[in-house]
Amino acid sequence: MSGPTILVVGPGKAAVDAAIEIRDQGAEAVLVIPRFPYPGLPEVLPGIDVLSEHELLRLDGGPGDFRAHVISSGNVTEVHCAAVVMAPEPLPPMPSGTAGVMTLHQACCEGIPHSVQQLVIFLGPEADRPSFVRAVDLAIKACALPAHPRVWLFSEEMQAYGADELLYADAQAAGVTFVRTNGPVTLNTDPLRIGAVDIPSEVPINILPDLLVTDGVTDSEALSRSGPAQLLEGTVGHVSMGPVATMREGVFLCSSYDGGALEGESRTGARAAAARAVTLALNPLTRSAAVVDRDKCSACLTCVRSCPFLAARPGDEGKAVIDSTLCQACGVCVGGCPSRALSLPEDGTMGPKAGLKEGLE
Amino acid sequence: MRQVVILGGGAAGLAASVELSRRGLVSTIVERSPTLGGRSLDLACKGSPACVRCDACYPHDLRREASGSERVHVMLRAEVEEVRWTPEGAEVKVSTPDGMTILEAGAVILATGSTPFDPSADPRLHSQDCPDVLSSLDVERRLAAANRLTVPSTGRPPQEMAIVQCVGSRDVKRGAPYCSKACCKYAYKLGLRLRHLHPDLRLTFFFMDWRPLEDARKALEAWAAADSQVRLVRSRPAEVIPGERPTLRYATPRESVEEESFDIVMLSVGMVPCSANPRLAELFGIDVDALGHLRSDRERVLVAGTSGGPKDIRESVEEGTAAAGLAARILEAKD
Repeated sequence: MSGPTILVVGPGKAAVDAAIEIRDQGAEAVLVIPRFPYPGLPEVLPGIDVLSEHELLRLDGGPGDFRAHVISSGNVTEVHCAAVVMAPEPLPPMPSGTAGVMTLHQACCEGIPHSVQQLVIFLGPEADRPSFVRAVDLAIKACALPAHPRVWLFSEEMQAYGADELLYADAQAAGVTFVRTNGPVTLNTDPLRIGAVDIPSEVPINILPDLLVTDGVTDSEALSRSGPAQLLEGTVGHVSMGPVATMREGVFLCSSYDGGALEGESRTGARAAAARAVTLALNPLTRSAAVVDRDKCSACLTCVRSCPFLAARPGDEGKAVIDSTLCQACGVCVGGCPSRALSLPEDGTMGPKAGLKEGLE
Repeated sequence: MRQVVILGGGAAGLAASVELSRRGLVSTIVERSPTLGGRSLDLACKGSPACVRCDACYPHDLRREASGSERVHVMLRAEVEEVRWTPEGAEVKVSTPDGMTILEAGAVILATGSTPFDPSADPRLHSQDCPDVLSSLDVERRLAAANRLTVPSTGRPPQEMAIVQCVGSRDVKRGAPYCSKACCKYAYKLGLRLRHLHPDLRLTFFFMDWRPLEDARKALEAWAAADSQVRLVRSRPAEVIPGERPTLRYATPRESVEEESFDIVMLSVGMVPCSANPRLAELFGIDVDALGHLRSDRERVLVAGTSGGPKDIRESVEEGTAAAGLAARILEAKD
């Protein structure tokens, strides 16, 4: 038996986590992976329909009956789905190609070369929360290399949330030197040099590393180039809609913590969004929208002017058209229509009218 | 059809019950206290005046939805006495003021929360004998009740207030060795609210590292730069000297020792594991980790919210929702 289809859109692990959770909860997951996916995604996802190198172009319809238009090399296909999970993520910065310089992401994926004697990890002002955990983890691993390199970690502040705090103590025990920088950090690439003032000691520190690993440095072209950020502007909902919800009903957002989610938070968010999407797909709300009787409508535009949700617009011959995804079944237009052309169907379960009915019962 | 038994009616437990109800599944919340809502009942809205997304209202919305659902059963002043595992799930024996009941559970969600650090455990902070030393939870309660803050000893509005971060967190000797995650977030937003309510108030933040949950790491610095009434001191105060006004003694980054007195000293307390965790873990046959938090077996006992480690309201709600999805899956696999 196949359950309802849920579309998951995203380039990274959160999208994969959400798709797996949807599959395991008995629905059909269609995973849309845009161009430039996050490195390290699993190649095969059993039971999940993967559309790689696709972009979501447009989303029509509403909960229970979305029509998603996805595009790949100029070809548009339509996917019918009951709900949508969006898992946008900024891409890791692209490696700069400068000798002796690696991005944090690159160093975590490829490992630190065994020949390194002096390693500096520098987290710039734009480094996000997960970067700190990854950097400390990398520093501990580097200390354990056979050549026992000296490891410094430069940053303004150490962001170790929750139990990651303990990792920080492990790093100190492993011999990592933390330099809390105050003011500007100077970086030279030829020869490789990093200079900064340490606080609280206020001692200027200059190190000539043979490997510099950076993250969150945006002002230096030589160190990293930012990848295209696959983020959606303005999709994070207001608090009253609750976590993982968006402005649009039936569309759920995960990995949306501003400034990057830690691994555990991202997984939790993905699972929560998946759970909510499956719930909605299994019981799509039947919501009523105002209906226009075209014979009665005199194209006076009263409803267009009075609709608080901008759901009414003039259509063909100026007669009113109600956008059912925007209509909240509030009844303002029904009461205001001079031609009595508008009505609300009885079977709605949302909106004040439905609430009133429940209250009377 | 079997139901899901949820221990704890705070943010995570309510989120789980609401999600299960929306999916058409029945759950019972077993809550130890006389009311649903958990810690959120003590929290104040931090809108200053626009919403700053402190999430304090969200558990109230969830409670409303759970209370209105016929699929969410609630047992108040109830505690689990015994758990017996059967091939279909668990028989959970619950004691309530009306006597013993046995609940047949297809899955169990533990959302029992954590305990706020009690600052009286650190005698140097004098939170018991100095009335003007308040924990952040005291400040939240006062704001929630009166929508303003007064100096407890005088009843007048405060002029000078200190906010001390990491009380009971990152403190191996007295509190928890980990960072409690939520304190920088709530302290900053409480500060915004207090400055809005009391335009004359001067605020001084004492902190080691600034770790808000959103990408607001620079927001505190920017606020202090823009508002002359807000000051930042990068230090963890060593002690409170009680007196007419509480005095903080702290070491500055230049290693000198300063003393400064305030009308109110607010201690931003962290979260420590609930003392009931070992008993719960034994009852349900799961593990407690090295830090004292519950660990889910992901097969029949799920853990959500701060009983599994420190987190903010938003993450607790997400965990409750995710646990409900997993519980639904467990129930369906058994049908």
